[in-house]
Amino acid sequence: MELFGIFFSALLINNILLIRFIALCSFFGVSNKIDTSIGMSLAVIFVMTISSAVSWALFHFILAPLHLEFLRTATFILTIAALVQLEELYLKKMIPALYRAMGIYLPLITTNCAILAVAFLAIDYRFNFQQAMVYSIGVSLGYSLAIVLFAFIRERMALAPIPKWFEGYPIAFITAALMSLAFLGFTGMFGL
Amino acid sequence: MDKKEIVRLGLILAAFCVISAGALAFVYIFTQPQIELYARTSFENSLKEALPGAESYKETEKNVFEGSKGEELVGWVFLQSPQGYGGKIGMLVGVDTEGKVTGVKILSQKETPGLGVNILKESFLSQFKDKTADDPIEPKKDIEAITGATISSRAVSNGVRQSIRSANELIKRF
Amino acid sequence: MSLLKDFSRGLVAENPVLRLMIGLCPTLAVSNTVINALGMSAATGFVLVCSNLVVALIRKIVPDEIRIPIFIIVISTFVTISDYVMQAYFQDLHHALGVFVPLIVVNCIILGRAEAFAYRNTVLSSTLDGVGMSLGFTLALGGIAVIRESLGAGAILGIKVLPQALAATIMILPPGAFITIGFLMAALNKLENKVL
Repeated sequence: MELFGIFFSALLINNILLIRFIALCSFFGVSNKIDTSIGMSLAVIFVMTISSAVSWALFHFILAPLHLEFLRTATFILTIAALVQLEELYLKKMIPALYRAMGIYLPLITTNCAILAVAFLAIDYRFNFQQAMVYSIGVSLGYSLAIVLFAFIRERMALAPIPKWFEGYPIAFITAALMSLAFLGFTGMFGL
Repeated sequence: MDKKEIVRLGLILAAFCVISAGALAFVYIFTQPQIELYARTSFENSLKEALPGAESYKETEKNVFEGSKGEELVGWVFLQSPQGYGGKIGMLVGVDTEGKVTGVKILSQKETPGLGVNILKESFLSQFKDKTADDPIEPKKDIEAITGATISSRAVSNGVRQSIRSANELIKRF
Repeated sequence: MSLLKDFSRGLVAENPVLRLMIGLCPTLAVSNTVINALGMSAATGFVLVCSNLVVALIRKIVPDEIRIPIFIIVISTFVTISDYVMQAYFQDLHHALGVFVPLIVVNCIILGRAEAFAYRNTVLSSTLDGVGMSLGFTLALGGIAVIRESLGAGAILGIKVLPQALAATIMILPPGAFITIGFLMAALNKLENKVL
């Protein structure tokens, strides 16, 4: 029940893009087309799950016992950067099909703040390993849900008549506002 | 890139890591006492706000703090976490030995900005003062709920009611 | 003259948030009150100026191949320092900003300026660039916060500007952030077209 709560809170109620405002650069950057948004989502799900597992272990088995918590920020970002490189090499060699689907998005992910944010939040919320994993899967699926929906809307919007000054980013922000409003409706849903 | 070059780059990188770690260790040692002091005193001050009559507080059970003045028992402070609208509300409720509420202090909350957040207001919290087990302590009855935030108001009321019930059980034991 | 340009570039012409569209996450997330916005700007500005200064200082001894990891180490050091100082002396602010303080490390403005400017310029111009960019960030963030807080809460820093009945809570909730930036950008588009 508790894990269920963590999952839905991460997926909908505290949606990382629309409510928490993390990783917005990619939200506006790669949502022009449905294909690119799906590729990015796959990459985020893949990298976020692995990197939050690794950073959780790193913090609880190395940094905390040695009282080196103050190296947290530096350690996490370097670990994530290194992990992304390794994952890229591994995918290229072992699962070329998946690599083709999300290959070009992998390098972009290092600067995707969602990955780092989830690593920090799992520590701040004092999650155990199981909770941290459920949380990071919930967050990454919530990311995917929001960005793919947004890409669908933006593709249709390309055909719609829009006031001249609102073309491009301004109308995208207004759209995001309406989506955010919809997601706000989930607050209080599971009493979370 | 030959081996020598890799070693050289590695050494430079390592040197930067060491300098950075050293600087951080210094800042950490410098700020840590202040951070811990704040965490301790802010909780003590909150206990004092909930049960102003007491001078020292002792955690006798989980989430129950016994407050006394000298040798004399004054009352208890209960740490409650009722379910609000945006999440659990962390709050302290002080009850004296006669079962009367002495104060309510909200420690943490995730309620909606502009609406539920108003549970922090003194005008709302002061309504609970002097309530006993004989009062209903329910929004729309004896508690004026915050406009647009019935769930948050009800959550705080539940926390207070629960505390009075726990206090009366403790009183019975004497 | 060119030093003045280093300083003023970040204010309007290359305003990081409204022009270059970077550093969006903190801009949206902490612009619900003016005080949060100023606190965030101060922390980001501290990191930006310090990292620009240090990167410009060490640019001669940093080999090209490993410059990015070194920038990241420098930046994360300053981020951690500001995180601890804030936690020790400005607890309420630290609590309100939450995870966005450590997340300054991935704020693209900082790594972007280190790579694009400080690594290629003198200490003095890099510092000025850092100050200018920080002010540009503060300007955008503070401006958005003023709009959101006055429309959403009806008061700025405790001073009433709107009757309570007219305040629309939505503006300090997440959607309000998107709405404000959307309209602000549309307004900039319109202004720009008029000038041209």
